[in-house]
Amino acid sequence: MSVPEQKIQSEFEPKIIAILCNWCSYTGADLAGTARIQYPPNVRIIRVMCSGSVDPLYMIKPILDGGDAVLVGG
Amino acid sequence: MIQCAGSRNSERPYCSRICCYSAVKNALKIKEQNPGANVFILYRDVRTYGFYETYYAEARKKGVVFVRYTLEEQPKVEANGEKLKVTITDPILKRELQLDTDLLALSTGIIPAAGTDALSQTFKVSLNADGYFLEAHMKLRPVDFAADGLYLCGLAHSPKLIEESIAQANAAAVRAVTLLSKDKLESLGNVAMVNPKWCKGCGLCVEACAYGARVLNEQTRVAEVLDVLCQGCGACVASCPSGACQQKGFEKEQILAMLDASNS
Repeated sequence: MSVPEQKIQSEFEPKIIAILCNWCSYTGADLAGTARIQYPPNVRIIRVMCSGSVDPLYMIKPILDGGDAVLVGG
Repeated sequence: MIQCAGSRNSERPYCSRICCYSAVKNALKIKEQNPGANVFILYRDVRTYGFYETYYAEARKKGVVFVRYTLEEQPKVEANGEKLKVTITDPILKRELQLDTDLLALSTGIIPAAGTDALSQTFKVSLNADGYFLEAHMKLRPVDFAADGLYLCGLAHSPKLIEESIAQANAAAVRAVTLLSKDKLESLGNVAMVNPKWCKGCGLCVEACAYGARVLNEQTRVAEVLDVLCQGCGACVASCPSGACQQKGFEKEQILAMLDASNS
């Protein structure tokens, strides 16, 4: 997917939707928070109980709605 | 006495904990009844941990001979007429020792009880790599299983001394009382649910459930959720090919709404 040109010219801040599994990657993000490791606010996390339950729709919809990337962790 | 016989090798890598302690106890008893008896303990590592270390020291003081051997160079046992002859290389003398024995005791390791496999499948509880039952969390929930209302203690869990078994049994009993002392059970809110219109009754969710919370209704051919047993793990939702299974709090509309909100 090509990134619009004006986005590259201005300081590009991607909007990343992360769909994370409750038992591993979400716990990992939580642990990072507990350890006071900071991550940029570009990542917006959505917790699911299992990454196997992620519908393809969950990945396509944010991109159609203007998001830049979807990360599924699990 | 030969320690670690058939233990702490590639097949059974764990230590059975009680054998060193029993060997030292038996050696002291023999020395008490017959101080002239020659007692040899062939070992790889002596682990009479905790306060039992004093018995080990006492055994050495009373003349029980401890000879070390390695996994690569194990003692050899041969028949010598009516008796047994044990050959071992002493690593300190760097010489071969030949021991003619009146009695040879092998400290064979503890193995999980027969039927542990079948039991673990019946109750859907997990086993560890050595074939013993696995607790939910080594430090936070040491006598609980992952499923509610099931507890473990003693040799079902791992080889251990009788004191440890008793302490663990007390803990398991008290954990069970915390459940029994309640009038009502509170279950989680985010349990799974099934849309009966979409369910094909394939039974995949029944297999996926680690807690026995899913059953197939034989009459309607629709999978059902036993809310009290459901731990809200989401495994059945992931396994459902027809999308009939949803989890409360994580329903499709709710997740789509979250996606919308995070994208704005």
